[in-house]
Amino acid sequence: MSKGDVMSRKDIILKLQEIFIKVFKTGVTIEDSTSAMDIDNWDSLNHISLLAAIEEEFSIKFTIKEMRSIFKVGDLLDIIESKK
Amino acid sequence: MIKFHHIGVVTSELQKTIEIYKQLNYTEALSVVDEIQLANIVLLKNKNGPMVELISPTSEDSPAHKWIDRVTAGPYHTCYECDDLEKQINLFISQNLMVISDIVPAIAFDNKSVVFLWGNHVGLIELVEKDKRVT
Repeated sequence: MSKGDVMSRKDIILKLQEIFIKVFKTGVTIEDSTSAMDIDNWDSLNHISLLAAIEEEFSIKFTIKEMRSIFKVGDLLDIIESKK
Repeated sequence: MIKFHHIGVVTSELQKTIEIYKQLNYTEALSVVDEIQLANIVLLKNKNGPMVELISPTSEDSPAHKWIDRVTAGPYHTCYECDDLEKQINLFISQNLMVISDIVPAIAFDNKSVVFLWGNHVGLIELVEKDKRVT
């Protein structure tokens, strides 16, 4: 994918999958409904690490309001999609 | 200009932690209840070492409470004093740090403005603005 191309939701979730494995150190398959209930290590501190990793990998910035509105993978996808 | 300000140490057993730091020649400089951070705060000073801020959460809603689960007790943030908070925040953002709190007054530091940032390559950093106070 060249710079400037719009990422599809599928592209985003593939990249997110790699970030989840790196942050949570688990091979869980993510989907829109995946939440902290589904991943043992998804506590509030790892949540911050996750968002920081996403910011770096996708070259985006979350607002504090957005951070507080993220409860599941689908929420992340919506925000990332709106910024890419 | 930016300079080191203090180390933040979380504990659920404030008095026990104070006693240990007293053995390290620290003395209590201030003890306050911070209603914003929902924590008891004790500042410890030692002329030969950095200032230590002990943070003991008074509620599970305290931002520091999650660190009790993670580290039980110990250092969890470093704080730096800067002349211009907004400028330093923007510099850190350009280095992939993330602002994770609002700018709020720090009761233990004479209501000076503070903010917390997180970076996956540096951990939790607090910034305190040298002269500006939140009223």
